[in-house]
Amino acid sequence: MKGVYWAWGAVLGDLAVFMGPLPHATSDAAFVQLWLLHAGSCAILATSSLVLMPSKNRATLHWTWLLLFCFAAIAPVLGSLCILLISYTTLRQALDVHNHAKPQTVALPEFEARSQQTSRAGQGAIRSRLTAQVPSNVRMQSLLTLQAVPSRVANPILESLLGDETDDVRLIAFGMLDAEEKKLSVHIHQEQKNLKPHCPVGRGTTACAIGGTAPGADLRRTGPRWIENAQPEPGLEIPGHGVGHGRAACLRHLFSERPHPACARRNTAGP
Amino acid sequence: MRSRSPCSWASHRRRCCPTWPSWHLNSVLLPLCTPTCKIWPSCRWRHAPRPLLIFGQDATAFCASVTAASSSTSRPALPTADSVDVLLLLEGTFPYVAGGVSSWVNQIIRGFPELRFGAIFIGSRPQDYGDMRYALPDNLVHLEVTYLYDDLGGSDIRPTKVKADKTVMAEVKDLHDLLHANMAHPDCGRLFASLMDQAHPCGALSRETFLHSEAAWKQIKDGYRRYSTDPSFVDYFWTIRIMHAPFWRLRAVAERCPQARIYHSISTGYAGILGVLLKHRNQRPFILSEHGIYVKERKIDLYQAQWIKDNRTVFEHDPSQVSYYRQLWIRFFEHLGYLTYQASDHIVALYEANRQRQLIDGAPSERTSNIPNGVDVERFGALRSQRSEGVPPVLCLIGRVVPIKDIKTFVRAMRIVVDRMPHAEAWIAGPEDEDPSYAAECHDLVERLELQASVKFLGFQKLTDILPKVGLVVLSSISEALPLVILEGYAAGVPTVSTDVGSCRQLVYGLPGADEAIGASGRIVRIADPEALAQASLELLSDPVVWKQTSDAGIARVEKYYAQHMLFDRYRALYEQGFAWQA
Repeated sequence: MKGVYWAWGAVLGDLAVFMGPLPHATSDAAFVQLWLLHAGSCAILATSSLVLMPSKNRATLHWTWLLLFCFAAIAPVLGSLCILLISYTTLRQALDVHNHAKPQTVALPEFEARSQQTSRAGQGAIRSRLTAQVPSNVRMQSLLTLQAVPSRVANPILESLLGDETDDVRLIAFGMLDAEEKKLSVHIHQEQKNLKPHCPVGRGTTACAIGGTAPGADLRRTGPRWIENAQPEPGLEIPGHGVGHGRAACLRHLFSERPHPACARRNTAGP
Repeated sequence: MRSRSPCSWASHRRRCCPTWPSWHLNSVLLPLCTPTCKIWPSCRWRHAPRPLLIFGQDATAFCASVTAASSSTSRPALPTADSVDVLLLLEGTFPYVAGGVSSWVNQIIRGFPELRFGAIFIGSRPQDYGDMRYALPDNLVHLEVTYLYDDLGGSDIRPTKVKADKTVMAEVKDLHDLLHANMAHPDCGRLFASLMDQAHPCGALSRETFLHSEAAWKQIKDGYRRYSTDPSFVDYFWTIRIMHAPFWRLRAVAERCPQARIYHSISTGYAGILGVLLKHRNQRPFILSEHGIYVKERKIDLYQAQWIKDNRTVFEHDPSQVSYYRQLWIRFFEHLGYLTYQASDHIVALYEANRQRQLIDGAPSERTSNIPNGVDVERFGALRSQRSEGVPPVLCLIGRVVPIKDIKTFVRAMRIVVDRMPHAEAWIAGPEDEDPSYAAECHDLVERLELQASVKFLGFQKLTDILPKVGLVVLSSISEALPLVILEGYAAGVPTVSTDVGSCRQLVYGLPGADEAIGASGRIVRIADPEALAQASLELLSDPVVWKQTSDAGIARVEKYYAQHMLFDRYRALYEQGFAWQA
């Protein structure tokens, strides 16, 4: 806002020059003094007005300044006054906009159901759409379809894709299996936590369960099927967890030092 | 000294001088992201992309970030220079992230002491990176750090209306239509470059115009109506904004970059686009060296990303179709890759399969070539004399503890190895701080498999310290390009067991011809197969004759095909060609 004071000062100075004795003097020196003072006032006014201008008008800095200066110089006092009034009004409008602006409410566009997606595939077609002869983009889409398929169906397909020649397919298959394993690990952790207060976990059994049916085997391959296939014996009760919680209850028993006979039998037999 | 437009001077002074008047900068209307906005409260977008995929940044934070006036955050005490010979464009690598690509960058800079290097590090947010992992070489005379998604604090921007230039907005629409219909259209690159020329703060396509003008809003609505197959407009709106926001950052970086004789990017993506902008502005040669294929890696990330929403109802949902936003992001990175390939004067891959992949993604065949990695054979060769007699039963995995290295498979394999060879040890030599949750899972697995005595997490180690003590370099990665650690192991006389990824098969069995005749320098196994990994490791460790044969083959292979001077010679020729072009 200091620019405004400078501008007003320049206008008043210009007015003082033309209202003073200099315009009435007849000497050359007075003439030169008059126009120098006028030019000075105009320069101050142009510079201070320039600061007040919106950024887009300041992109052509020199030309804008020259225009303001000429306008102020051609019409002494009146020109300066006009420039200042215009700048001041514009600035005030801008400030008013800032102070009183209200966020606009905008309407959301409507969504039209489209029929752009033409192909649909049942689960039976997934395997055929994953063969090496199929274009890679179709294979990738088919891989994603497996996310909507139960893990007992999807996992064997994904495992077979780990040896695929295409890097992308291999990596996505691995990623999906890894995500599955993470979920399972979280589940096992949770069950371990629930179990610990009541039933100390046998390390050997835990290692065996995590590694699959044999130490070192891949949990991804055996874990889900193992847990899904394991059924609790009727009346099986885990302290604090009630009766017959299905797979979870059986899983808890898998971690116990002495597994329940039913679980132990299935464990030995495999999934 | 480069000439600057008045506008660039203004922005320069604003950066350097906090007292520079800035009221005009703040006159920006925020009709779409103020707290009273109708969209904001219901916005379901919770995640934004990061390398650069950031997870967990909500719409409000994003809104604040993109409207902030400052364009980047730089760390103090970094070297600066007005001009350099080669300006490296690095996305998420050297010097803040350790790994193969960063080691390669370090190697290249140190390999050309006569050249003055500069580097632009592009990251996601400052908190995603720690301290520098590498000592800066003396000939790295300029380093700038820029983050695409920082400035998450509040903003004092006041609302006012922004008017958009109709011609420019029409060009924006044309560009998007072209990219949508035919990415290979010759006008795509030209339109992109001409629009980025207008993207300076006072230009017709300033960030404020994109974020706050009615024309931009209408264009987003129009795009939604024409292309979106997902019902959520809110997600569409934020996806478009988040997707485009980094371009203004990159343009600002391109504006203040030091003069360079050659621009050299290590990936496509955002670093590649910065190269495109720099080449367009300054007309200097632009080299692209890709280790992995950026577009491929982004695609794989995006295909699995959980943060991308699918808002289709049960009646609209077809599991065989990729969700619209997933497709949108994938196409976005494909476009970045394509534009980068088209602008590059030389496109370098590490091996032939990657070069073929670049061709598929739009790289002009005549500009592509292969330059494999190389290692300092003399330095690592000296370690052979430090080895003790016999084969140490130590399997060493050298790499970061991150999912892509599939450390868990290595740990599972060790369960089998230890059963057969109880005194065997596994060393995992690499930092664990990049993905702490994954590192915790690995530790957990070690504990559950009762391998605490056999598996050791060593953290970051000097290779020269550990290589003389190991019997095998093991790589269980699910994705690699041309791993330096295998070559370094070879030079030190250590054979390898690796998964069949990237060029590992070529490194172990050799390319057809004289290379293949050298013999196998290790074993290759399928990914995620602990049984096979264990068997191959046991085969080499338990038979000193086979181990010696593979060790000798590794030494011969690395000396003949992967010596460091070969790498430098090839890059020297490229750089000289670039310098000559300029002369």
